[in-house]
Amino acid sequence: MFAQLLRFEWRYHIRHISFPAFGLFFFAFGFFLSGKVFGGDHLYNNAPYNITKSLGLLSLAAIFCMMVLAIRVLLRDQQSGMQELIFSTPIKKRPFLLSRFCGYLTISLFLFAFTLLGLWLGAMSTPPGKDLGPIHWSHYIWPFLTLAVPNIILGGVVLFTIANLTKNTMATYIGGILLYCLYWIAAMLLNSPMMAGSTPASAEGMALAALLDPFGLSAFFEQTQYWELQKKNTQLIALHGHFLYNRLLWLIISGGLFLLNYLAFKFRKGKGSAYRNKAVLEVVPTVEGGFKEKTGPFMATHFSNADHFKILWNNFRLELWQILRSWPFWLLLFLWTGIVASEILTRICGGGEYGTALYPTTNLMIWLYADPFRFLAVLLVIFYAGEIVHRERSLKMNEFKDSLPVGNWAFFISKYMALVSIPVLLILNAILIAVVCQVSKGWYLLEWPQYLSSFYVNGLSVFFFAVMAVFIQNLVSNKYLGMLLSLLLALLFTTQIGAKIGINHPLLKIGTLPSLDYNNMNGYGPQWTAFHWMALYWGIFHGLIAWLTYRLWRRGTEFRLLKSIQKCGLNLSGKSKVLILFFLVAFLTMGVFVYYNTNVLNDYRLREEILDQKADYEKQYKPFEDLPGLSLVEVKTKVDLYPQKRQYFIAHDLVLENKTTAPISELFFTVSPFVKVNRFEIRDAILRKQDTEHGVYWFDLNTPLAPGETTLMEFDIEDNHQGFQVGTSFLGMDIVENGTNIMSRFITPSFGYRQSNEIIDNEERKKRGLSPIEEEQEDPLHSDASANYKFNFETIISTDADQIALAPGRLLAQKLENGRQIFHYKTDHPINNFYSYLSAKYEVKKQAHNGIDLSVYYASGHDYNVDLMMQTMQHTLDYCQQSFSPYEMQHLRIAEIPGHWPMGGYATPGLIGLVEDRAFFTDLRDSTSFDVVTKRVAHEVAHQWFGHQLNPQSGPGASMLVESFAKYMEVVMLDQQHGKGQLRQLLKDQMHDYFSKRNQTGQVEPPLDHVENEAYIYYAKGGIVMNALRDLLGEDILNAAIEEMIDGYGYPKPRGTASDFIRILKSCSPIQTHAQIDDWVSKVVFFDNKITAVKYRYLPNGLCEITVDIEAAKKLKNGDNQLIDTSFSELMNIGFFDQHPDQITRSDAPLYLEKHLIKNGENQMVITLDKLPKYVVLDPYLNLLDKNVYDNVLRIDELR
Amino acid sequence: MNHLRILNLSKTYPNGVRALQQISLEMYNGIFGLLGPNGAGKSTLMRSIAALQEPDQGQIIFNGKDIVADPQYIRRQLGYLPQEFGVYPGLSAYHLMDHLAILKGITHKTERKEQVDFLLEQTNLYQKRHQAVSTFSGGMRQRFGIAQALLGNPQLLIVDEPTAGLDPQERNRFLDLLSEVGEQKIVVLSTHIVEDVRDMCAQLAIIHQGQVVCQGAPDVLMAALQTKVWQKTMPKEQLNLQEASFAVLSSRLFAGQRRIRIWSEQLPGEGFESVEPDLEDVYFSTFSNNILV
Repeated sequence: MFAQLLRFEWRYHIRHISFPAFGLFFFAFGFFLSGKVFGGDHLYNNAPYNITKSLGLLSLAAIFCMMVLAIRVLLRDQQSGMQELIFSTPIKKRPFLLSRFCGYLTISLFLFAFTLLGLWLGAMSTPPGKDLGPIHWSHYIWPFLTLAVPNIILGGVVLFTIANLTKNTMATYIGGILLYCLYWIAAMLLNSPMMAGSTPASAEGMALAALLDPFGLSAFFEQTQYWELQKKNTQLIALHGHFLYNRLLWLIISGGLFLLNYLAFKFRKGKGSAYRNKAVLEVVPTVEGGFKEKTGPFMATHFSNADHFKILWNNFRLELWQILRSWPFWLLLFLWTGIVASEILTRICGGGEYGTALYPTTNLMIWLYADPFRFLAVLLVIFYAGEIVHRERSLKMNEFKDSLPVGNWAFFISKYMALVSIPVLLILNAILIAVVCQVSKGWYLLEWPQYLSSFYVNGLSVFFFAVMAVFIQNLVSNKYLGMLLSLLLALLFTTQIGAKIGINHPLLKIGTLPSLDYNNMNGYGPQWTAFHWMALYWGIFHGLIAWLTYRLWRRGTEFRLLKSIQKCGLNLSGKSKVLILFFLVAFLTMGVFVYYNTNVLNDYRLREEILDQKADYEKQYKPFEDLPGLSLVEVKTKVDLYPQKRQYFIAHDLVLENKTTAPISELFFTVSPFVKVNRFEIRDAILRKQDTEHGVYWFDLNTPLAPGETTLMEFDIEDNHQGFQVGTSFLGMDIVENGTNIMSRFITPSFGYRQSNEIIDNEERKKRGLSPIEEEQEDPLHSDASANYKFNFETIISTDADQIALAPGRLLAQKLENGRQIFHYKTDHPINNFYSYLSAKYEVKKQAHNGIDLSVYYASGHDYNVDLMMQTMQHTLDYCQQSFSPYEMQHLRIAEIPGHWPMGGYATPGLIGLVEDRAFFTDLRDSTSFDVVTKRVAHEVAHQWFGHQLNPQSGPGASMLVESFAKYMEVVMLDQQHGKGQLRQLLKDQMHDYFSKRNQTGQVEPPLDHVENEAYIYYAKGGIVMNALRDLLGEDILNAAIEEMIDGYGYPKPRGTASDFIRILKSCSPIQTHAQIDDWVSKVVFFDNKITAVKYRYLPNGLCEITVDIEAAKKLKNGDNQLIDTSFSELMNIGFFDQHPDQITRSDAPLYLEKHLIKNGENQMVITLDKLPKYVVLDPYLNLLDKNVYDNVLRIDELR
Repeated sequence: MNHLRILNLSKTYPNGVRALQQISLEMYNGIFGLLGPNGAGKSTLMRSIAALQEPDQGQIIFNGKDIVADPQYIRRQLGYLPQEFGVYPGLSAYHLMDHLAILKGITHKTERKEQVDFLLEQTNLYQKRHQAVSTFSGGMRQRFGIAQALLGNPQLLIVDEPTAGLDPQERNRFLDLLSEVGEQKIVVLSTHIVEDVRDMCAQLAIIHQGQVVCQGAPDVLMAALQTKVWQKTMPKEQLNLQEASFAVLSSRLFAGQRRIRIWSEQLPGEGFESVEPDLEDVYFSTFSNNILV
């Protein structure tokens, strides 16, 4: 019996259109994901890590398809009216339910297995090479069994249960969405790579996320977060730890739910809701009623325009009522409230970078709900379009509704309006929550126009999509097929799939609008214009689609697509023909207009084309890499900024000197191809070759320049933004209406070959026949700080009358002339070739401090942290002057730059740029929250010494002397201002950064003193090592060594290297510390330490004796990049505290803090204190690199 | 006086079924019966009149206007009760009527209320007007169906198998209402129940396999069979023998014996007696191959 039923289920499914459709869907996605989708050089496309991730993510998509299947399986009897027939057969509940569930599950698993096929065939069809590891069946089967199968069982049980118990289509959809929400929340907690986030989660948060995520992805990310490349390439996810618990937990929940389903399922006619059953009973006795015979009023009907509007409005109200009356919709709004509130609250209550809180500005609120809104709204539009468009047909109401004297347009518009009221309600709801959150944080600056524009900025593309969804649903007779097609459409234009099949140009990406980010300095910025035009372009397009939908409206009992299309153009009135023609022409005109702007007025290049160009440059000019060049000794510029018009003109007068030992007769320069060069002349030289494609200029000097001789060069450029740009990553955001920030490296010519133009990604290099590069490029914002000799700098810079322009140097003069503000800056000391021009409507706070003029330039109203910046500048300047060397300039400025700059800040000589939302909007009202402002200001002020005074030789280890030293100032200032708790927060973040990024590229990890461009070493590890040295040697010795380094190798003395510093450091420090210095700085070493147990007892004299068991291990990386366990015996801090170490403030002293000798393996310490402390901590101040620092803390007083 | 004219109407479905073949009919005010077995093409014809689907060929002209070209014209004058229909779940009878009334163009609020109340009253649903239509019993639902069809004073009322689910009492009242309404407008009543037509219709057409096999006034059609219908009562098992040689109109059990009626120009044989033809004889005579009409 059971087998027969199961066979019936199977046959029922495979005959339906959804079977081949979903099968193809999964196969195609598997195939797509088998390519290079998840990042990293050297990570195989078919690495088990990638396969697991793909299967996990696709099991999310599987839920979508399973919703459709669940409705087909469970609601089919009800929908097809078979229910009574089936329920009256002698079939028992158990075989009935089991066969349906098993059939459902089997078909789901079977369909999902097409993903495996796609992944496998995708790997098989890739030519073997670096992208492809060995193809092994277990890499596919194991994640399928551990990750996908439990997910599908869970999804199956949840959807099956909901569909079975509620008999409600919408409730079943919402059940699926609920699972997505849980995943979303878990991902937010974990900050998984899928989510845009910054701060690493705490161990507790991670554990919670790992358990909470019903799809197990968070647990997967948690287990693999510190996996090295080789492990990702070869190792399968292990069934232990949180991953095992997660799988078990959700399997148990699945089992429980199924049991509940089984028990609650009543084997009789299910109806939508209880009142319905009751009502039927009431009705029975009244059957006797008949028709009363009398004639009455038969009213005239009206069809004026106003009446049409009434008809439309009434039908819309009814459609909306159909949505609003269903309880699942309210559940959904409730879920949405939860998502938005948690998104917002986690960010404004300490979820930013380093756990900082941000002020709840309106743009932040909108940015936070924008992504989840888009995701949820598109999903809902897909479902609801199917329900709404097909509603009358599924209710069998179509015959009498379609015979009513209502135009197709009224049906279409009322349905469309009902559909878009869902995203509108979501946005309204989100705004309400956002405002409540803002007010609850004491923020009353509610920018209503911004909220209002959210309907346009965030909503419009969804409204467009709704047109397409209705269009699709109207064409297909099966709403599930329509949903699948809508989903494909959404995926095509929002993911990379479109790009893969050649849909790149914004004119082809249906309904896709340019992304807009509002920032508080510059508003929506230049993209605002592009957005309007694209909105208009797509608006006309969707208007035409809407018209087509109305013309093709499925009406009556029969629909033949071809015939409808044929008829669609017929019997049009002259007026509508003209109108349609007008809109068609308007659409084409808009297309031409947009194309003119993106491709003619501006440079439109695909990423591929830019890469090709870079490869070309490298091939042509790399051979001339060693051609000697001249050095800059004088730079004089005249800068005219027109922020309103987004224009600038810069005229350079440069003095060049031959600092080599041989005469120079030819010169070649590289200019960024985005710069428009108006004049490029060198005295007594001929421009031999000009390659504008690559920005290369080649000069022959008439008389060779002897060593020590100088020559003059004039270099005039302009930037003139015309029209608008869409779809390119380079938008020229350096000149904007408010918040211009033009950085020298983007505008000035390089002498000779520019290495930073090379393609970094080795995959892309290989495609273009370039040999792989071994080291990555430097962080562009800091690279030039160590690149060139210094020069004198002078500029006359003018800007709009209401703005202040900034540049390096002392302000010699300022005047207002012809409606232009003109500033004259000149440096007193030579500077590095790393400077910038800024201009904005600034307000200024000035303060003189020990002969140095300090100022903070900020946009009006952004003054929350200005005083703190001022203080930190003073503290850091004082500290550095006292410890290292005098500050060279008479001024130090901080200026705010707009939020569209993807960095925290930068330091040019005497002028520091800080980004608005990463310093100016940090909410530090709660004194315990992490003070990222002090951190950033200290870092950038420190660069005035490390980078500008001490400018090391470029090469291995150079970044240690620049960036790690600047990190050291963060450590010192945070410790001084806030104490060890905040310091731990900084260092924990760096630990995470180091361990999650090390060894992801397959290259040998260098020690700190040989760091090249690995930010996770010179920033993250550098900060930890500098903090450890400070603890090991004491601040005085360390500072003395740095002082000696600056003294011996700072400008204008010959530049030094990291090994010079280590030599100095060792000469200042006791010999017994050298082994540890070597470990930290010159080797790759880390630890795996933990406190395994603590016992205590009170001694007769009232003292407390505490026994601490410690397990320690030390890993050393050998020459083959392999980690080996090493035996050791070295001093480590052990501390006792009355508060958790993360909470230690400046005023808290440890109850006990001593260095103890710890060896590898088991250790036991016995320590006697006069009272029982609350916490024991191994290495409380995080001197040692340790993947898991959470098991180094144990609470004592709550033992037993 | 309304006038509906159907000219050479043909319709073939994509699966090859020829639902209508060259149908021509003419109707004026009053009830017009469409009689035919299931699948004869009645519903296709009615849906074509109601502009729910388009014929392949032919014209439907209502009061001089071709409604295939201008479906909106007929929709404004149409009351339509489909054979089978559903309603929005949870919506009360009053609200659904109100909604449909607006869609029918009764946009004036008080007029609409008056008419909705009246129709609900007339169909005896007024007491239940706040109850959801989806919870109605079959009879109530059918009454609701006719109430909504009457909204807005339609000039053409199409009712497709309206009496199928009704008990005898309800059926009588329903037909009474229909005949009253039919004085002012064209009512197209489709049914396979001969009695409905005999009681109600001044004109009728019998449709079989997509063709009009016979049309006219019931009396005239019956008169044509005068003296040609014969009846015989016999034991049950003799049927086969009889059927082979006679044009059998009907055969049914009567008090345990089989009673057959046949068509014949003269006395067909022993035991047959001549009877008055009724409409059922007309109906069956049109399908029988042995009859030379």
